[in-house]
Amino acid sequence: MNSMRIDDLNLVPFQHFNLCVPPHSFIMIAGSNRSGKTQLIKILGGLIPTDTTVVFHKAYLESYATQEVYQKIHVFLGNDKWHFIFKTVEEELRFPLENLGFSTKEINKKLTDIMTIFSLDKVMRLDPNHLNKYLKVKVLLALQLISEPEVLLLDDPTKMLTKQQRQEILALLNYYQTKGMTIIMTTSTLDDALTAKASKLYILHKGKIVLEGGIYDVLKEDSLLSKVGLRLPFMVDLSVKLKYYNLIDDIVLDPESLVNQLWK
Amino acid sequence: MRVCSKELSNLSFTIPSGTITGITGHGKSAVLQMIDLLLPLRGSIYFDDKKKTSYNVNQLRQEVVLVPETFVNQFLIDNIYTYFMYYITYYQLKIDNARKKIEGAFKIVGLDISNLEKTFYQLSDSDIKLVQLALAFLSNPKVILLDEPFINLDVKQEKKVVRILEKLQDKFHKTIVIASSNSNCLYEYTKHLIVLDEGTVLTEGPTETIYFEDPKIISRHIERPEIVEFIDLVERKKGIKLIHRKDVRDVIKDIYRNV
Repeated sequence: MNSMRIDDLNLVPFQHFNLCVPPHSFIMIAGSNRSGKTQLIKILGGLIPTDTTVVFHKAYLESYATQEVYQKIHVFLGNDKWHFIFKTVEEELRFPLENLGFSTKEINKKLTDIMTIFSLDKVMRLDPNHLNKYLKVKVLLALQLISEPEVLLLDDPTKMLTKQQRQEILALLNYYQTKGMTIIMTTSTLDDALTAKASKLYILHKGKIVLEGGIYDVLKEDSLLSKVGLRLPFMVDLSVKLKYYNLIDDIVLDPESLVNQLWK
Repeated sequence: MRVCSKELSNLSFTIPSGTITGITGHGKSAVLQMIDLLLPLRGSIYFDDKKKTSYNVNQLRQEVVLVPETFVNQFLIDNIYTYFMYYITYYQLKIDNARKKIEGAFKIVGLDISNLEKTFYQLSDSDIKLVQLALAFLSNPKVILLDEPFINLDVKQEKKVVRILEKLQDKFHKTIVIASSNSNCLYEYTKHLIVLDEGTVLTEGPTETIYFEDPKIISRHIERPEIVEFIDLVERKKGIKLIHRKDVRDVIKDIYRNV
């Protein structure tokens, strides 16, 4: 059973493109610029119409009513041209729930929940347009997650963030995955795949999937990855190359244990 | 260049001329905007020991140009060539043959001249970054300030931009300032580093010395490049001094010799 599937997509740059997403999984798609990441997310979210290629729960995406798709699949586009409509973060978060017809009691409960999960309690009364980048990303993510969709599509949400902020955002996504959400995320750095413990990693290059599999299996292909223009995470890079010199046997992520393995 | 400001609790630092300098820490964008006079500066800037306090923006453009993090179409002109022409008129740049100058700027950044006829919507994020750089070269400034220049670029494009910057610094002795929160990039590409913390200068000096030796960086838990962390760890745990390399491949050779 698949939660989402793409059958033989033919749209520039994609040619005979297939993708299967099992339910409750965390799929990460990495690629350099112009690999088609954003386009893929838009296609999966139904923002770019494709005739009968995207299958969502045994039926084509086009066969659903628009309202239904928007409730079940949420899309987070990671561009920087965000603008918020309301004057406070609280109003901003309340609006989609009111639209979906929740009662005031339910709305208040959901708001407190999301506030604690995202630790947004200090910014609830502030203007979202005046927040810093990290908090803006957080508020936008909260906006997508507050009505708990079945599938969450994210287009490079961590692009503008520092390492620590990335880890926090990815931890939030992991939390929602354990609650049963299907998450498909694109990224431009492989560090994200490593920190998020994604169930499967795909490498996209010019509209083609050049590599797929478990994170460690994909990361071992260092020459192919650098050819597509992706930078290996430092510890992976180091241990893969040390392996060539027969100094270690496998990828070691913890610097301290690597040092201990090298100098016994 | 020396900057003294009272706006951010008595901030004062020196940017060495003709090198690539990095700025990191909270408030880096504000500092760049202050040097570019986009934010009020209650203090003074010295260029080669000459004090420049009150001068108009057009005069400043000949000396300092800021390349912002994201492109803002400030004249609301879509066509790139028209935009460049208007930019020259607006900032009253003294250029004889504008077309030639613009094409020259495009050549420096390695963009095809046919892009001039396009609109901004037709370009990708990375091409827009190059257009931003070309725009900055028009006035032939002594100082180029870049705010998070690598954020929308992938590895290959990043290397391309760095090559352009290094060429400018090497051949034309430009002073280049990169504000970034990515310590790996700063370690790899900058010679001098200014670390800001809570509105003041925490420390400044040669990048390598700061990341390896500065006790303030370590005690304040400021993010260090992964390669520095590793070389440091080897020394702390095993007492083996590896050479302060910038490339992983060199580190691996050093390890091979030392094991």
